[in-house]
Amino acid sequence: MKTIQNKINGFQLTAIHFSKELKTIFTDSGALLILIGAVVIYPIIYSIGYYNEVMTDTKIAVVDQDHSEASRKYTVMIDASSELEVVYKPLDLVSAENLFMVNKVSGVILIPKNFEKNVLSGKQANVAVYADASYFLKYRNTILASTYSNAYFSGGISLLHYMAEGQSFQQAKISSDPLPAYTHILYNPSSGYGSFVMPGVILVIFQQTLLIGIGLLGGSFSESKASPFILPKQKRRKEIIPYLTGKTGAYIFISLFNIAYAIILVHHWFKYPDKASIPDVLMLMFPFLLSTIFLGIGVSTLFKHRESALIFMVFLSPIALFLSGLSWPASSIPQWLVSLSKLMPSTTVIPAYLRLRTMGVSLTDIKSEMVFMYIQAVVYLILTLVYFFVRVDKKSRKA
Amino acid sequence: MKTKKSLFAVTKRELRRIFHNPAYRFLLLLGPIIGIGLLFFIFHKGVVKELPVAVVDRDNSTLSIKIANALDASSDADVTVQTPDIFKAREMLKQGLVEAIVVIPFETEKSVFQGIRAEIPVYINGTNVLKAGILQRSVLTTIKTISGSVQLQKLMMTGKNEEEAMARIIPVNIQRHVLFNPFTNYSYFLNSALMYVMLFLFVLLSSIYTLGNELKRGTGLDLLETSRNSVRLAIVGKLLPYTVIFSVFALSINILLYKIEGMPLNGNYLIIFGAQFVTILTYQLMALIFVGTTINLRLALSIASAYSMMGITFSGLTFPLEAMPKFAQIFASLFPFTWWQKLFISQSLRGAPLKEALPYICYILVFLLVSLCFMPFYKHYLENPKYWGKS
Repeated sequence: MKTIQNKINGFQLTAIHFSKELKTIFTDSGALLILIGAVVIYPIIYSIGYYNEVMTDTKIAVVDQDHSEASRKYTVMIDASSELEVVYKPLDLVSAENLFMVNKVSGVILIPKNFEKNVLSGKQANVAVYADASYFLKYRNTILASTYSNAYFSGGISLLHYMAEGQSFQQAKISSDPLPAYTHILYNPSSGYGSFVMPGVILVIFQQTLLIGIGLLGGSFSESKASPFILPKQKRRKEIIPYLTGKTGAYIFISLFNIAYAIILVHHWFKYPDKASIPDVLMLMFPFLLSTIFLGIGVSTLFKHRESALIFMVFLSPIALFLSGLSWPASSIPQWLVSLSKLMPSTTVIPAYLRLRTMGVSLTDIKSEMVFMYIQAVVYLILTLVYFFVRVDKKSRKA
Repeated sequence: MKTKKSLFAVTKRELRRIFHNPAYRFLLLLGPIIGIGLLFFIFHKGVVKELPVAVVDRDNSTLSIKIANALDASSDADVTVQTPDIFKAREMLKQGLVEAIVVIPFETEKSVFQGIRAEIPVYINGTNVLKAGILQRSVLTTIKTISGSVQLQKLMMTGKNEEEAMARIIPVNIQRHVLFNPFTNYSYFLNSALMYVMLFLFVLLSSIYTLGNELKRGTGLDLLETSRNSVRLAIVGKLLPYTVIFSVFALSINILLYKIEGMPLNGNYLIIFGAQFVTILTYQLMALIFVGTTINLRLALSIASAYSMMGITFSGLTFPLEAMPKFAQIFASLFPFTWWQKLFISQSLRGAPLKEALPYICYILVFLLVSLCFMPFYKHYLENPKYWGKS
């Protein structure tokens, strides 16, 4: 009889703490801004920034000193690439350099005299490319497009020479490149930047807003906040689990809306890669949210003042992003830092999430990551529980 | 003289507060050290190297072994798996164990020497644009080189000398000149920008924290008493110790970047130093905007954090501003960091003339001027108890 009474009380307590936590969140403008505002604003604003996905038509200048049919053809081929746009044709390298210095162009291509003569007579011709490497994507565009255009042009030239020696078109094609490589870029064929970073960035936003938001609402034992418990001091041990369950439930509840928005709607609006079924995504999100929320509750106990969460954790956001291996490969990060970064759930979830959603692998292919996050969640939960029991015992002894 | 004395008094009062509150110690010392230190180690290795590649060799010939060895020898790729089984390779790609698969089909060598069409299919995981770009370039170059050497062998058999043969293989030789960042080190872009993001974040948060705390704790009258009722002296006196400490951090970042990482400094260091000082001052005073509009320490910190984080994306560092929609470009101008970033890259890497730096500094100063307009409001809040105590 008595156990049933306790059980009902436990559920009631959980429900009370669940709604209490939600009420606290919705009456605190700072927390609301972080937990919901940031999750609504960031994904959309960032996605607008990356809306064009790829950088096209990087402006370059071509200095054509040959003024021939061949050099004009070469220029047209470069201009026709989607990456580059020939906006100036200065007469010499000095004026091209000036255009460079005043930011009018990001690259210069120089076609020297005798270009056509060399090409037609079967001598090697030279072309020089000057690429500004101070911005990565512009540099990549200039080098890639000039290399490809040059390869096409060269291919055509040697094809003509082989044909002049009496080979058929088909033969000449094989002779000029006996071992051609055909590359297939899988999963993100257009190399779109938004499709590349946004899915992972959204998860970092989830993690950081949860960690900061939970901390912002106050450590449960912080000086600036009244005790969160309802039961009298002697019975508090029994309240710890309902309290944590209710609190966790409240954050999962809010996260469901955030998932619906950022993981379903935003992906739909901006056409981010989506090869996974939503139930699979939810299966992966669950351990991620659990371990993040437990970590958040655990860390929040360390803060004496509520604003401390911002002071101590905001700066970790860009670091969490780069440690996840999303845009900077983990193989280029020192091993000790990679191990340390496993403390954050984002490090484990992002690679798994990208494989699931961008590459379309099955849940079995990300099993190890899911197991890791469940273990992580349990560890964080146990640490938090131990802390709560110790604190409650200390308080009740004092009383 | 009196001014000097009360300024000194405010600074002394501030130092006492700093020593008594661990949050200040974190914002002023530990936070920037951890943040900047972690970034330093993340990007310290610099270039991305030795990405894992699988070679599916179904030909098992001298040529196919040559291809695998050549791929392995390049610094960008590392052949970690060699298998005749394409399904196994695909599984490894799915699990993230390899980043690309190079397939050498059956009888490739035979076809090549008989002059029959032989293709090498290459599959690259495009999930990470950076890695895919590096691999694509590297694998294509390697295979192109081997293709070229096959061609060379054949051409020389037909009686051409090496020079003639080379002119046939590469009719137009393209010489690449990399300007301003000769090592094409991607980490320079990210690392330099992110270290400053860290610095300016702590500058802004610490200033909001100290200005907002006066309101939260209702110590405004005490502050004004110390500064002889001058809000200007109060603010300058309070922020002075932070300016000094953060300038030292800015110098440390310079040392890390230029001395330890070996980042090129093609422009004028004095302009960079002056500009980073102005930007620090601007971010300090911008705290007045956040505190002045919210009159709530916690909300001010929340908004300022969100604002600082957005500044990274909209500085055009990872994805250039020119490639963004017009709306995003306008939005980007609302962050002093955007202008700082342009100034820093142009001065440090491109060695641009002073003329180019001046407009950027002026844009940053606009933020400083707007911040100053909030000074009278701040004084009003300091004096009025009804604005106090809001956490």
